[in-house]
Amino acid sequence: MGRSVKKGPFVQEALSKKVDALNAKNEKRVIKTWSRASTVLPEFVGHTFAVHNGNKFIPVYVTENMVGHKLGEFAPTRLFRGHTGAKAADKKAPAPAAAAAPARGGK
Amino acid sequence: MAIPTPELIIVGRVRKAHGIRGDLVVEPITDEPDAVFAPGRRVIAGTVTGDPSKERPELHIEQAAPFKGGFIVHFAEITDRAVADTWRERFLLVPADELEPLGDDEVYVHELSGMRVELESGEPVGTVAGVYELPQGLTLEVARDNGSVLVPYERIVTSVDREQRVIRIAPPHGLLD
Repeated sequence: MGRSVKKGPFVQEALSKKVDALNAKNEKRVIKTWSRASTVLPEFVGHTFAVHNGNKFIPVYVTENMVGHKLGEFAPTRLFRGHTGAKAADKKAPAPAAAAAPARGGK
Repeated sequence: MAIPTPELIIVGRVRKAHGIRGDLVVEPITDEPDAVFAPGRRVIAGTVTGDPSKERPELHIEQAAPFKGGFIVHFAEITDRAVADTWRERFLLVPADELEPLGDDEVYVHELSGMRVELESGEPVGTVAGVYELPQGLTLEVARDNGSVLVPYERIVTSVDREQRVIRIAPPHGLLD
């Protein structure tokens, strides 16, 4: 049975206050939280949370499609490094290049 | 100095035998599974640890069909269930020159391990101790003097220098605390 609509979604009060304070100042900084049961509200979008998984803090950047889910859903309690370990596998990641250094001297 | 690309690269792992005709369930470990596990292609058999076998036997793909996020593959060299059972958990490799080459703006995920991590100002942060594929994307575990911190790859990593083996990051305030 779902949670009563009258109560609204659960969010830890302290967490909600921290987000409201950052939004009021239009500031972005990582918010550490142990509250995995807190629901992601629309106000959280664009913030990064460090959600504890029982061992480490997992950084979670909140996007629009995460609204309505619980923070804990994005911080797995078991981290899997993959089957291949340090062996070479055909998995690639984008590698952004460093911005060119500004030219020195002259006008 | 950049890590040279090895001669053979892992592209999949045998999960189990399937049926009685020697089919194998294969879990792809590649960004181009449909191209690698296409009928007519060949793979080289590896061991359960991911190293190439001494004899480097080749397996030729006769049929491949999608199955639960992987493939059911029939290799020409494996024709019955008893033989297929002996292939359980073994890795499959392909020569690097037969795969899509690495682009200028790409890096192999396994190369990220061990790279130095610096802020854009050049201030050292730590060394990559592990790479995790989380639901929200690739995440680096950066080992520091006082423990380790997880850093998302997307949005935070500003540059990767394969030659110098350096990753530069621009973390939001509080991420490294």
